[in-house]
Formats: sequence, structure tokens, C-alpha cells
Amino acid sequence: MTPDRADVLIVGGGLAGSLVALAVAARDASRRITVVDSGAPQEGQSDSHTWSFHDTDLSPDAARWIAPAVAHRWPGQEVRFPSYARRLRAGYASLTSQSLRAAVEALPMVTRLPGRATAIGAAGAQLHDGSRIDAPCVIDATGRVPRGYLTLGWQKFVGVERQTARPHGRALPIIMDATVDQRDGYRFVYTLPFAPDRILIEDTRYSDGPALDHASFEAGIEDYARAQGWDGTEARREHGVLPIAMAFDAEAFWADAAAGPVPVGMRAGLFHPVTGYSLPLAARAADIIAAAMLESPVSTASVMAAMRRFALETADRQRFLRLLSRMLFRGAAPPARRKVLERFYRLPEPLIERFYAGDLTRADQARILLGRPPIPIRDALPCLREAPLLEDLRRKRAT
Amino acid sequence: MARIAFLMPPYRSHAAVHGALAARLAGRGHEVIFVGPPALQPHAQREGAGFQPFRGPAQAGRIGGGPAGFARLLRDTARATRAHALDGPAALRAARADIAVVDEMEPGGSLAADAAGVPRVTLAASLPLRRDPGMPPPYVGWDWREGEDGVRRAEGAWRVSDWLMTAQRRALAEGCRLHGLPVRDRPSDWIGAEGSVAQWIAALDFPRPQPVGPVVGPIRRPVAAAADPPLFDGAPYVFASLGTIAGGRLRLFTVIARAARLAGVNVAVAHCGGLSPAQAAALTAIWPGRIDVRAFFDQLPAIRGAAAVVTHGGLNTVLDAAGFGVPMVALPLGNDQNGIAARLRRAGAAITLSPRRVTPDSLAAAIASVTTDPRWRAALDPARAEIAAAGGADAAADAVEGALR
Ligand SMILES: Cc1cc2nc3c(=O)[nH]c(=O)nc-3n(C[C@H](O)[C@H](O)[C@H](O)COP(=O)(O)OP(=O)(O)OC[C@H]3O[C@@H](n4cnc5c(N)ncnc54)[C@H](O)[C@@H]3O)c2cc1C
Repeated sequence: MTPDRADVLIVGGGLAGSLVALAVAARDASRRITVVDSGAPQEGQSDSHTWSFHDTDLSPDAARWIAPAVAHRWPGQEVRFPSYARRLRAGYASLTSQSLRAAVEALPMVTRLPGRATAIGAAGAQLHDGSRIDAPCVIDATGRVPRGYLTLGWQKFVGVERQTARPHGRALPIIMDATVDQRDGYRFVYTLPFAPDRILIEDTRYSDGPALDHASFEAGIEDYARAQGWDGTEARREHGVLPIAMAFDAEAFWADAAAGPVPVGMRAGLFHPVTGYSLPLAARAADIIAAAMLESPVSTASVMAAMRRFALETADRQRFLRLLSRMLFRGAAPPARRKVLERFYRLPEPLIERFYAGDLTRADQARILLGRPPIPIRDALPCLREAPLLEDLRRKRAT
Repeated sequence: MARIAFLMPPYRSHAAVHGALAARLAGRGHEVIFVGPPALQPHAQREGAGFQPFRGPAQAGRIGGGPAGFARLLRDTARATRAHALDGPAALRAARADIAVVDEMEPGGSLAADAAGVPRVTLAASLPLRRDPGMPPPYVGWDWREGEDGVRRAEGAWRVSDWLMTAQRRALAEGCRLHGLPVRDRPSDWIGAEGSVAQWIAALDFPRPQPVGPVVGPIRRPVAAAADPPLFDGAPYVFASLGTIAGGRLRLFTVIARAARLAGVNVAVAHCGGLSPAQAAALTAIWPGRIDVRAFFDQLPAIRGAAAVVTHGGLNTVLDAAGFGVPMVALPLGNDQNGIAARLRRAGAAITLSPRRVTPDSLAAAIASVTTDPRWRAALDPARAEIAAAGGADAAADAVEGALR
């Protein structure tokens, strides 16, 4: 099979692009898919990834087709705060760059090529070596956040996977250990025990600015490891600067994207506004695309229409999550952010699960806001409206 | 051969007991590891045990300092227990412990062991926590009261105690929920299935319907065979110590030195590092040549050779003195020392004085009485006999090995 005869061209074989390939292949094994990936991380992002999700984030369908890409699973997770710790029942799982890539490469009708696109259009992509790949359906999964349409805060982290000299003793992930000292906004440590003597330790901070001071994060990781006697060697490292959305002009973004390739993943602003995670939405988007492709003939336009509908609905449903982000970043002083999160984690588990999945009900929203407001009402009021931020964005885009 | 973990509050008095037991078990071929927050590390080092850390306080809760100090101590206690509840289980797994020896005073250690599925033996290094009828909390200095009245009084005291320990109880309850254990939030709920291996002997205790567990008496390292030259060249002396926690009480040491001079007897003062060199020198100057001030003596020989012991009434010092039949004057400073003093009074085994009201005169009179009246020494006979038969570190090691099978 040669790439220029593909039905679908996916530019960017990171998380979102790979999930589209997996979902499409699961629905219709005869689709010819070409994935082009530059292999070079974008500025500020690392090429080594651990992508994690809660079992409750995915539909049963998605859980099935993502399974071959899963590298680790755990039967639950924990959160820890200064005066509250809790085990959460939802199972947790991780994909790694390797496991995801291997799952995609195992698909018979998928070709994964190295190559950097210099221009991507609705009908194909121009590669850096001058060659061109055309396809009836082109998907842009290059991961770059459309910053002009978003008002952002940042979740920054550095993770070190450590081979410990002796067993570390941890059995479950701790997705937020906020008992550590607070610096640089809201800080917590995230740990994933991959094996009895392997553990990923991530120092994470919710900060106002995207600058990543590696040395400070390394020191935080080292302190945490040393306190538990986890001597050992570094096996791998990853880092990230994830966007937290306070405002998103989705209408404008999709209007401007109409004539191009179908954006997915971060490229489409499809991430959780409070956690910066994109896997649950990428999986849903992949399902939507796979469903749209069942109608032949497949075209960029038909997939675009389905994605646009899904993305606008999503952006609308995320209104409340963006409000929470505004409260966290604009309403709460950095030291108060931890309290907001601690309170949140005292809520019932089904609500927490729906929060991660981005599926909060109206009752959930009321409960988060009214039961015990995350921040004092006085501080919350100025955050309530998204419109002023959208206005700012519009002005900036115009100039 | 087993890997044996030891969990305890990071106080020297507790660590010394665990250390002696650990040394005995190590002598039998086991591997011994102290498991705790950073504050425990120096103790592990001193006691020659391995160390498995977990995240938690770097310093022991400070004892003393009035009501504010007490509130702080309660908070620190709860914090240490919470650290055990959160990170103790992983640390026990990391240490690959086959069994845990857990001090009754750190119930978080027992919680950690249960959460990690590691069998455990509890150790009462201080007064046992078991709530027998009429038994007041250890740090209450009440004299024993027989009958219903005493039972009711003790229950009331425990209610207050439970209320004071609310923060620690919360930490325990939270830890239980976190690890899916049935909620037990009082320290006494965590006493081991076979009771606790206890240092404190029945002869000096308030009456209990049955023993709290294997009562083994003082758990000590063997006394060095080649002893130092005898203190004061073999002349009679009083040994005085206020313990490792409250070593810095210059005023009391001064009263003790003056009292010794009034009573005309040499005195060896162990200040446990609580006095500066200048303060120690000032103390010596009270009666040059007759006062020997040091941070630490080789304590067992020093007590064995003494005519009497002036003590804060810490459990270890009291048991050591009782074991050698050396009469005591007790000046309880806090903690369980009030409870110990009340038990000594009931057994007629010591003169107890209030450290706040004691004067050189009253202390001199007490020293003169215990050193000259043979009835004080005789009153310790039952205690001495019980300790001699109880087995100490060996019996404790047997109990731990018994739980391994
Ligand atoms: C280290 C890290 C850990 C994360 N962990 C999680 C997590 O646990 N759970 C979660 O839900 N989210 C997580 N995220 C957030 C988010 O899910 C990721 O950022 C995710 O990778 C975004 O997916 P994407 O496909 O949109 O972008 P990416 O995964 O970044 O993929 C973009 C791909 O496109 C390629 N590319 C870019 N430009 C070109 C070009 N011009 N031509 C060809 N190829 C190109 C890149 O090489 C890259 O492989 C994490 C992010 C990071 C950085």
C-alpha cells in the first residue's frame, strides 16, 4: 500500500491522531490510514509521554479499542491533602508513547511515516522534503493549542521515572499528593507505580505563567523520593506545560477552521479545561470520526461537520469547567488553590468521576457551587462571566 | 530468619527499648529495621538498626511549654500518626517486613501494618494503654480508687482524654477509610491480638483483672561486663536524672545538688545533654568534688551502684532502679510520670514529691529517708523478684518470634 492512496491522512501521530487511527480501524478494518509524524516534540513539550485516564472516562466501545494501547492498569487511585486523604474506586490506566505507537503500528491498514508537514490543507499535506500526500480526508492532529481563541492558565510538570534500588512499596497511583509544600501556585506530586521497583514521580504546579524551571521541579521530585527512601536511577523523564482554559471562543475557532483539515486533540482545543487532560475527549472525538467515516464517501467536509458539532457541544458543556478554572486562577490566590481542590475531593465519588470525564450534571454543578462554594462568593463574582475574556481575545485576534 | 520492622514515636526513651529488643532479635539472626518519618532516623542509627523512611515530621513532638505547648504536642502527635497512616503501609512493604513491632504510643504504626497486611506485635514501652476498669489514663496522677466510684472516675477521664486526642483520632479514622479497614480511632483499639509485650510490671501496677500481655519487665541491652571505675571511688552516692525529654531543668538540678549537700551524700547528675557546659560547671560548683555532672552515665551500672535514685519517674529509670532494689525519690514532670508516681505511692515503693514545690530541705529529707530506712528497699522486693523472673529482652524476643510462626 502506498501512502498517496490513503483514505485518511492524519498529520501528527501523538495521542489524538493515534486514537483516531485505533478507533477508525476498530470500526472499519478496510480503511487505509496514513499517519505522518515529525517525531520532534513541539517546543515546551516532551516526546516521552505517559497518558493516563480513569476507567470511567471512556465509553465501553472506546475502552475496547484503546485496550491494546494500554501499558499499565491499577484498580483505583488516591488523593492526599493536608487534612483529607481518600482512595477513589475508579480504575486507572496509562498509555505510554511506546505502547500507543506499537498498537497503531500493529494495525494492518495503517502506515506510519516519519515526516514534518509544512502545510496542511483539506485535501492533503506538504512535507518538509517537498513531497506531498493527498487524501480525501485530512486530519490535523499536530497538537498545537489554538492560543488565539483561548485564555489560559498553566499546569506544568516534570516527571521522572525512577528505577528504585529497593521496592518502593506503593501499590496504587496517587494522582494528587498535595501534602507537599506549596510553591509556584498550587503544587502536588503525582506518582504512578509501574512495577515494584519502578515509579513515575511527577512534580506538578498550577501556575499563572508557562515557564518551566526544570531545576526547581527536579529538586521537588528528589525531595519527595528521598523522604521515602526511593534511592535509584532515572530511567526516563517527561515534562509538560498543559493549558488550563478560562475562556474559549469555540464558535470563532471552528468558523476560522472551516476550510482547512479537521482539527482534533489539542489542536482543536479539545481538552479538559481544569486538568488540561485531553485523552477522554480525544477518545470521544475518535469515536465520532470513526462513526462519520462509516458514511462513504469519506471526505474532509463530512468529518469536519461531525467534529464541529461535537466540539461545539463539548465547548458548551465545558462552560462550567471553565468557570471553575477562572475561580481557581482568577478568584483564588495561589496559596488558596489547594483548599479549593481539597474541598472538591470531599464530594461524592460519582461526581468526581463525572468531573474527570467532563460530564458534570446540572445537579453536580449546583452542588460544587452551592454546597460550599469553592471560593468566597465575593471573590467568585468577578469570575462568573466568560464574556469579558472572550471580548479580549477577539480584540487581540483583530490586531 | 525474618525481617522485623519497628515503629515508634521518635523519643530516645522509646527507641532505646525497641533498640534493645532489636539487638536481641538481630543476635538471633533476624534483620531489624526501624520504619518511620525522618525524625526517627537518628534513633535508628544510634540503636544500630536499619532504617526505612517515609514522608513525615522531621522532628519529634516537643514536650512541655504549658497549655500552648500541650496543644502543639497534640497536633504534632496527630501529624505523626497521619504520616504513619498515609505512607507507613508502603514503607512496610518497601522494607519487606515479615512482622512489625509497634509501640502502643504510635497507633498509626499498627494501622500501617494492618493496611500492609504485615502481622504485628504491640509493645508497651510506657504504661500500658489497656482500659481496665478503674484504670485512669496513664498521664493522670490520681491515686488508685477501689470500686464503682473509681470505675466511673476513670471513665470520665478517658472521655476527656479521647476528646483531647480528637485530631489523632481523626487521623486514625481517615487512615482506616483510606485503606479499607474497619474504623478504630482510639489508640487502645490498636493493641495487638495477644495483648502488648509490656515493660511495666504487675507488682508496680494498679490492679488489672489479667495481665496486659506478656509482661517482660525492662527490655535492656546486656550490661557491659567491663564496667567503668565505680563512681566516687565506691563511696555511697545518689544517682539523679530527669530523663531524656526534660533534661534541661536547671532549677530542679540545682535543688537536687543542694539537697544532696544537705543530706551529706555524693550525687551523680545525668543531664542528658540538657545543660550547657557553663550550667553544668555552675552545678558542680555547688559542692565541689561531691557532685559529678555528665550528659550521660552508663546508666545501668550507675543505678545499680547507687544508694538511691532521684528521678522524674520515667518508666525506664524506675524499672531499672526497682530491678536493682534501689529506692527512689520521684519528681514527676509530666507525660505518664504522674501515673507512674501514683503507682509507686500505692506500692509504697518510692517517695514522690511535686517538682514545683520541692525545696532542697524537703528533698534532702526524702533522700535521707530512702537511703537510711531499709523498709524502702524492702518494699521493692516484689518488684525486684518479678523483674528477675520476667525475662526482659529475651522474653520479648520470644514473644516476637512466637508471633512469626
Ligand atoms: C508529558 C505529558 C503527559 C500528559 N499526560 C496526560 C494524561 O495522563 N492524560 C491526559 O488526558 N492528558 C495528558 N497530557 C495532556 C494531553 O493529553 C497531551 O498533551 C496530548 O499529547 C495531546 O494530544 P495531541 O494528539 O493533541 O498532541 P500530541 O500528543 O502532542 O501529538 C502531536 C503530534 O504531532 C506531531 N507533529 C507536530 N507538528 C507536526 C508536523 N508539522 N508534521 C508532522 N507531525 C507533527 C508531534 O510530533 C506529535 O507527535 C499530557 C501531556 C504531556 C506533555
